[in-house]
Amino acid sequence: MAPRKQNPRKNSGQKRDKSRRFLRFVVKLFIALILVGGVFLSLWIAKLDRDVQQRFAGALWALPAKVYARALEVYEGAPISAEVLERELQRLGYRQERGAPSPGTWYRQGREYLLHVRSFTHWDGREPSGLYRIRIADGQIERVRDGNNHPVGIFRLDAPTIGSFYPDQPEDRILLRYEEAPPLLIDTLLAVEDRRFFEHHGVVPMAILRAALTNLVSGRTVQGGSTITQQLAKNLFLSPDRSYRRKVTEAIMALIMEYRYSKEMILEAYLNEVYLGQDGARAIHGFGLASEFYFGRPIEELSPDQIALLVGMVKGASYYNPRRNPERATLRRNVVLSVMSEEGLIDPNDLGSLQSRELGVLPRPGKAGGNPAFMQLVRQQLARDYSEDDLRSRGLSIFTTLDPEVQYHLEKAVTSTLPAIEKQRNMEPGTLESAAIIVDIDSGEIQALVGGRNPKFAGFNRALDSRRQIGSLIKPAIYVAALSDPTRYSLITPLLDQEITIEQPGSKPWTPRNYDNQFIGEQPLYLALAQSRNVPAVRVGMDIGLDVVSATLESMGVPAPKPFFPSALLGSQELSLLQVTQMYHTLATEGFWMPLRAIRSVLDVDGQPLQRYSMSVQRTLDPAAVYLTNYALQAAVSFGTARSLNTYIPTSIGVAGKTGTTNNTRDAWFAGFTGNRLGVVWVGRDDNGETGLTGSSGALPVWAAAFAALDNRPRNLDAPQGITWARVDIERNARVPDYCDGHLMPFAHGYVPEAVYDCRKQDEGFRWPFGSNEDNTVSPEPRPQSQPDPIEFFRRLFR
Amino acid sequence: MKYILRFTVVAAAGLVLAACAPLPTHQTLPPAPQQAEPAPPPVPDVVVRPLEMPEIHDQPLQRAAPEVIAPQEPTPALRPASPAVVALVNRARLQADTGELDQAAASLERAIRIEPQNALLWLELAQIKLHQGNPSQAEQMALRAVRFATDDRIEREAWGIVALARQSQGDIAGAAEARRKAGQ
Repeated sequence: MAPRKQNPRKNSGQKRDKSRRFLRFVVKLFIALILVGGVFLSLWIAKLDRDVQQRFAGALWALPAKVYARALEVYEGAPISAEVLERELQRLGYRQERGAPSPGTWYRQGREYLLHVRSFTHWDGREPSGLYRIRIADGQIERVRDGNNHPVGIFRLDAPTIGSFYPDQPEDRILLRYEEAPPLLIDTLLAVEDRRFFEHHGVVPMAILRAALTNLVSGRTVQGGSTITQQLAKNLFLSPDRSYRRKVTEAIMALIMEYRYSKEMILEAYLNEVYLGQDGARAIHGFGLASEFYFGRPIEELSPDQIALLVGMVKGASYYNPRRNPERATLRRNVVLSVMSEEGLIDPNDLGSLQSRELGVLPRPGKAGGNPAFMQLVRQQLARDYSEDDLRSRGLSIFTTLDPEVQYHLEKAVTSTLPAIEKQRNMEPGTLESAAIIVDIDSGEIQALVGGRNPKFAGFNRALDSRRQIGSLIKPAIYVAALSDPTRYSLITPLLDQEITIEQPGSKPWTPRNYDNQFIGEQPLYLALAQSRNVPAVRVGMDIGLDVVSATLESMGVPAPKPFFPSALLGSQELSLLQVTQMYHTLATEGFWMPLRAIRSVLDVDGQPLQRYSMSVQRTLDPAAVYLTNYALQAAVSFGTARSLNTYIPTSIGVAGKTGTTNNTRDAWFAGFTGNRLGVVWVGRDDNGETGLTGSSGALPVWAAAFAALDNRPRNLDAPQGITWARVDIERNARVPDYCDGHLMPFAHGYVPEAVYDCRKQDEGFRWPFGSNEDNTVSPEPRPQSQPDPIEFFRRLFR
Repeated sequence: MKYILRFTVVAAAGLVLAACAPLPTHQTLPPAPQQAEPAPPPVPDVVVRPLEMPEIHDQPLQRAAPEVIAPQEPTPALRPASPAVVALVNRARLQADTGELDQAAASLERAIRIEPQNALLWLELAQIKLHQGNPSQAEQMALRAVRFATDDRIEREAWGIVALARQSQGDIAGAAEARRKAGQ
């Protein structure tokens, strides 16, 4: 209400008095109104102030956790071929440029690569950027030098991104710190959007007036006149409508922000908040992410014309979308480049060439989350320590164990092998499904995981969520339990492959059968396992006790069925692929159980270490018994159920493996390990239907295709303590002298067969070591003469 | 926090422990059945092949004590150390010396990924675990070292750590057994 002057009355003093009172009243009212209005206004401003402070108090945005694959380690002898290196550089968005002049570039000169590595914060510290020269020969790194040609022990590339955990409101950004923002970006942004940013107080009244005038003349809103601070206020707090009230609010908030916070902080917020595009449902906010999204590279590596494009897009990210509207985007970029030239930000002589450049944006929006199955595993493992909200909002960096190379080959193996099997067997295409995992043995790290035949499809994860009967894959558990009791079992203990009927309280008697429906009589233990005979396995299991087998399963890291029925000895138990992998991993490590890991460490938003998932080991099985079991599993590959593998993998690798086939060919399994990796593959149908495939015809080919492409170390570790080698006659279960035919086989220390069979004294046949005729032609523990083994000698000496 | 190395034997010798010569080992393929299998591919009875053991190296030890051990040139008979592992072990020791035990463990795990069967790396990791107050993992890491030891000295060192670790877990009998194996 406006104050109004009272007209003086000339009449009586009474009237004068009256009017004076009235005047006093009006003045009081006026003051009261001003006070009340002021109170309301101050309340409103206080509320806006609170809003601003609240927003700035914590993290400004919900930052999705970023998930990284392993960083590639480069060192002399690393199994990195030229092909592997170039694939990795492509994943990381490095570009080829003569001389590799700046971080994120590489150049090849013959066998030598020049690599200009980006700086990157790993869990254990920052790896600085730097130039390296590496030479590759025969599929491995031959030499590593730095830019000055000095030898380098080891360096790491940056870790490739494999995905993010997005919040419900799918905005995404890569946080860009003010100090880390390229000066050219800031200068250009200010030159185009707000020249006097560092001088004004958040609002420039003249600019607003000028804009208002222009709008009045043109009859519509064409000019904003907004400062960067006002734009930020609008983006952070206000709806996009253009009313005067909103304009006032925006101005007040801008003033508040300027009063409360530094210019740098406001600018940093702006750099990260500005909207620069859309990737499906995901909104692209900030220059950091926009750089990755359009150019596949960090903002520090952009050229002036690329910076000009991004700054130009602030005016309208979809109108100037360089992918959809390249002409408009080019025009806008060139306008910005001209401004840069006028402001002296770039050399005017370069203007022409910069303006004639291609836009240089990636054809497709950045790298999409290509590893959904592995990401599910990461989420599962993180759920123990972090809430869903942490993952979606705290900007964590999660370093995983995924090896993109191994993953690439495993995916390729699945996607190429299944159609081939279907075609070969005249099956309906697309009916087979598969899941597979590959693990690094000594670290227990999961390097690759496939959850279905379409690995890019984020659907049902057959590696984690599907439980299937494991069939013969259980047998090593039975045999490792048996071999842990060397008083009763060795690799050449004869087992009976003959019909057996087992009475079960409360259910029908059970008569297990072999896969081929035949019985072959007596057979040494290692052959029974290598050829996956059912009946001997059941007999052994019944002999040592179901409770022992059950406990052994638990020692291998998987839950045993409860109650444990005899039929569980043939693998009626259902396990997930991950559990089976855990079980076989304990064999591959010779009895050391390590929880399989998908995550190495977690950093917070400032790059500070939050948590490390360190390697953890527990010896749960007798290493000697596992060694003997693995020997039999190697036999399964040499000539047993998995012998077809020898076509793909050199026998010198000495793969140990086990096939598994469940009732009526519903599930085909293969678990196998080399000296450095363990792989487990399942092939079957989602409807649990019959496939006609066995472990060796269905799952093994996938395993073979994957491992044929990997660097495999041979399984050639010296036998562990507690193993003694002896030359034996297997059928006679007896030792033989060196001059007789026989096989060198491992035994638990102190449990080589006592009987000796001497081929030169056939009349006498067996000779007992403690018998009457000791002629010392056979030492108590015969060692192969060609095999002097001083270490073993010392081991025994010091045991 | 000072990281006190317990490689007494190794350190006293002032060794630049380079790789051991390749050790012969038993690498036998399991014998194929005589007749049980219809047509097994021929498998040689015994295939013996030298084992390419992981290289085991050590650097001149950076000790808490001020005494300087002059770096020695490896004798020509010894193979040069793998630079990657040497670099990582040095890094781990520096980190341990400044009290960054978790970082040191991470560096050692990197080295183990490169040479998983290098007993010295497991030994070193066992030491870190001891210092971190995690004797149960120290024991397990030392048992890995025992498993991969190619050298009696290292094996006894490993048993020594097993003994310490068991002792601090209250496993008196286990500690005594380990000490016996360590020759203490």
